[in-house]
Amino acid sequence: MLWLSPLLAIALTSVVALVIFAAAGRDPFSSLVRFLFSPLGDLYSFGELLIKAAPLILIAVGLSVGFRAGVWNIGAEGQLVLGVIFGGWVALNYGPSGAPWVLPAMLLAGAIGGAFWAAGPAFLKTRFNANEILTSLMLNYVAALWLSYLVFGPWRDPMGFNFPQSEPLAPAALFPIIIEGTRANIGIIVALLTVALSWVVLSRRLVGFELKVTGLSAPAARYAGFSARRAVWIGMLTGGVAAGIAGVGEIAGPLAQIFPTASPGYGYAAIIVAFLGRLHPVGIVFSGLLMSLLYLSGDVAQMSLGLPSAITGLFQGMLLFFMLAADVLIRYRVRWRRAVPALALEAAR
Amino acid sequence: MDEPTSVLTPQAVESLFVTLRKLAADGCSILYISHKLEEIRALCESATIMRAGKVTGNCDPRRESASAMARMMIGADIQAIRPARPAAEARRERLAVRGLTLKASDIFGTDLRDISFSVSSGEILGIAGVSGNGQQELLAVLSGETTLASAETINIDGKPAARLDARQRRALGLCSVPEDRLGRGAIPSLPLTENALLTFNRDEVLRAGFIRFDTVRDFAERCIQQFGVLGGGPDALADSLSGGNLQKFIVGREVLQEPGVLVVAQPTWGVDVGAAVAIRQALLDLRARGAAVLVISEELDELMELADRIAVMAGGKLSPPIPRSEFDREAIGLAMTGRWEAPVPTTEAARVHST
Amino acid sequence: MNNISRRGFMKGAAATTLLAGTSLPVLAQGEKLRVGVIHMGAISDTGWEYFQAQAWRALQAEFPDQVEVTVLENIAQIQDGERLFRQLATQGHRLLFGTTFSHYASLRKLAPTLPNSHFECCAGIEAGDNLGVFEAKHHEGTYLTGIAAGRTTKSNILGWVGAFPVPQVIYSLNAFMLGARSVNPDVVLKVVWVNAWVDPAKERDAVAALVAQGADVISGSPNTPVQGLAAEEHGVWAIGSTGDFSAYVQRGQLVSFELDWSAAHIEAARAVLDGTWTPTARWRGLGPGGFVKMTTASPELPASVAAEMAAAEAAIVAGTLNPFAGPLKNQAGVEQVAAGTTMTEDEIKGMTWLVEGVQGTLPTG
Repeated sequence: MLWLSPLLAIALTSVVALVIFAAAGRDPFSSLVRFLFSPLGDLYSFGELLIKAAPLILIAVGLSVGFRAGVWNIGAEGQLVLGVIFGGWVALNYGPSGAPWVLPAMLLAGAIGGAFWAAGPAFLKTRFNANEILTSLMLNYVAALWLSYLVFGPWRDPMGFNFPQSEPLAPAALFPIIIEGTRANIGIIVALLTVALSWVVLSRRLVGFELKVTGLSAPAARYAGFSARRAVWIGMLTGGVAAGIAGVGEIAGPLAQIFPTASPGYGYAAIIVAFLGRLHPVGIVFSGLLMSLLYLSGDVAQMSLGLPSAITGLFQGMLLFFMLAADVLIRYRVRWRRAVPALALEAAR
Repeated sequence: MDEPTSVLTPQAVESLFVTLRKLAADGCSILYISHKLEEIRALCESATIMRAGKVTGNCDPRRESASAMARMMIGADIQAIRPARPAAEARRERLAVRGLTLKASDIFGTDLRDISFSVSSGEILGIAGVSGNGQQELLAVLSGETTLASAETINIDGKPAARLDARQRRALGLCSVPEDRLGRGAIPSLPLTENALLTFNRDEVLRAGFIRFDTVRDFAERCIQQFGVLGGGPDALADSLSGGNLQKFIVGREVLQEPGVLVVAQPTWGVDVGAAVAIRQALLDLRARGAAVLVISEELDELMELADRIAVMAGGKLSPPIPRSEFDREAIGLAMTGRWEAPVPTTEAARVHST
Repeated sequence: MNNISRRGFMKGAAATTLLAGTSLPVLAQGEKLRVGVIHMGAISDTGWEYFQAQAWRALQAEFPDQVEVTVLENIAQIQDGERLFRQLATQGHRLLFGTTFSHYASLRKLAPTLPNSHFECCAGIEAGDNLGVFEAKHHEGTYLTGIAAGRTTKSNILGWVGAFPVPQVIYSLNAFMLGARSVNPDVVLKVVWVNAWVDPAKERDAVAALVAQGADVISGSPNTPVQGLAAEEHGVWAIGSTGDFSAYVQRGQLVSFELDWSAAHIEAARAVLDGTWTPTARWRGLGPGGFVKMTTASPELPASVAAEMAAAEAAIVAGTLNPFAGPLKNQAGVEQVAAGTTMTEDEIKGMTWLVEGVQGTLPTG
């Protein structure tokens, strides 16, 4: 039944959207159609949808591994930034050589960077039982400042008029475009491969079952002999690797340069994507596409409907809200009862 | 009253009955709910028997035989337990515990104090005692849920095992059945197939690291068939089963893995009479195949029926085991209050934890 | 503003490479010119985005029947800018404005691929294929406010709250210092970097730190009223640098200048309407049609100082005064610009050193 609530949430959000469009004096149905479908109008826009969805899906799949096991990695944003730093280091130092191994090396370095950043909270959790939510969240700020330091300092483009940005990355350090005439690059394929891999591992290998059991019931996991520490390490590192690779995807893809604000907040948005997708790789593909669509639709709202872009945040929030509500209502039954008279309560005592 | 005797010693049960009879004589009506037929026969003047939410009979328990009432309860004749003969081969020690001392990690827990015992092949050792005297802690230490620093404290078939986790111990042949069924022995929101995988996950279930779900499913079906688990088959969620059926499934899952050592807590708690008989039979059969079985139970009758030796836990200590030839309800009951050889302060030994 | 003398403005542009402009097909009779503008932040009542918005509002007012403006605000992610510019272009917007330097890199890539539209980027560095740029000579404004500060200070210590050590901020604060020294040779300027374009908490702390070091006139580069209000609380003067905040800072704002991009928008639109648009680099300061405009001054500013500022403004507009005329020394006292020469525009745009009398260092090396 629980797969139903995302669909229910989408339906309810659409209903509210209709009301909002009508209240704003627009024709509600044609507005909704335009809101949802105009970002899919042509090949270029479709490519945009994919390149925005790819990092969200990639990170969300990585995070979902931990979330299944009750490992709350909120640090994907920082892990993504570490991917930018490690991958960026390779790109800036070896990109100009034009060697074919530069791109794979960037991905590897990004993965190592993300994993390195996730290892801190994992270590603190397993060794000192420190709350990984707090430690991973705080490291996001450290990562952002580290990247700022690099881009303001050693990595600043000498030809860039002192502006905080690196040199443009060499062509060898950029993802090849897979759809001519768009910005859609092989980052999308990387994301889909990750989805497939994690699907197989989570559903067909014992480690996936272990993580699920650990998340559902700690006593049952102990009884089965599934190590909670192992789950923390696997959960954190998988999230870190995925976020690190997503970070490389940003600089090797749409940015093509390193900025202090390399991450547009994908590390946080991916948390919503993961839950909206029910922590299932296939669900995450859909929720990632939906989330990406909402981002693009927010721009449409401004461009052709004359509505404020805040509407994207509004719809994202509503989607999550309705899904959580639907979860509760599916699991529990609401019973409307007349208030019990005070006397009866008294007697019941 | 609903099952009031489950945490009482036999002596305490006797004095409870005296009080109840006095109350009844003073004109008080007493409704007494229990699955222990002997208690009903000893105490009650009329009985209503229920099965699966329906009334199946009325009788005067003083005049009915226990087996007639049991028939009304389960709707069929009870199969008598046939204690299978222990294997004739030379006995060998399969589970040995030496000098186990452990401070409780939980403030409401009980410290384990200098516990030593061993269980041999073809033997059932019963551990009696009032709930909350360290049985839960002992079970966790034996199953591997709690690990110890010194590996030699627990030996499984001669191999030091105290530092191994539950899965590693299962590889050495030690399986266990916890007393909490939902959330420990099984995961409520998962189907029985996946609950089988919870402990049935060693090499034979894996092919190149991938789970062979058909093998697991066959195994779950075997548990369901051989132990008569009713309710939906291998795809039914654990929490959709009744407590008794889930208990049969869990016991079946552990017994069918043919462990060399089986540690079982409260094997028939909340289980109907028919299922209880089947579970006890399975334990006896396992013993007959040469396994060492440790049964921790609060039901003394059950232990006296099953065990070859019984030791008593009180205040985190374990009494020396009493052989079957010397079983005596009075002596065991007395031991439950902590009085065997070295008396311990009764206040502590007799404390009863509501947890 | 409507009285635009184009010749004067084109001087700067002529210095940069003029790429052959491809004239667009002339708009059909009665067809409106659609203009697209993308803001990174939200348009508020003051600050950078507000001045950008004032420009397209002026454009709408200038051509009420011929121009239609589509505005996107809050497009914070660099990754999004490129897509949205492309979308606006393919939807038939013939003139597109980027409002920040952050748009520059993507517009350089994008503009050559969309020849049916023309692109303009505020704060861009140099004109490119199908891409014009425009930027304000902030230093002409800060030079004048520097004069007011140098005349007003009693402690002879001025304070500057620095956003980021980018050239635009560096030449602004250098000119502020040079303006102040032009009337008061004893003055020094202390700088505190907050490393943010907008961060009210850090800006307040920075003001407090400067006041604690004796500064009694505070200026700076993040353009919000926060610094002015903080200065007012500490009882020292504030300067509205790139923004007139007298509506908020009612007593403590000494003088102010604003950025006015109206001319940039109107000229570009007119050129597109006429079919004469070419990519140009426009870098302008004070004067008619300029991008820097002196605004309010406190009633307490002596008339003599106001007159001094007016004289300097006239001289700058006339081209007889250049704030960066030699001799100029750096902080270490080493001469950087010889007497009799002035810095070129490119040198000013790439300025990375602080002039003599500025106390404080650039935060990164």
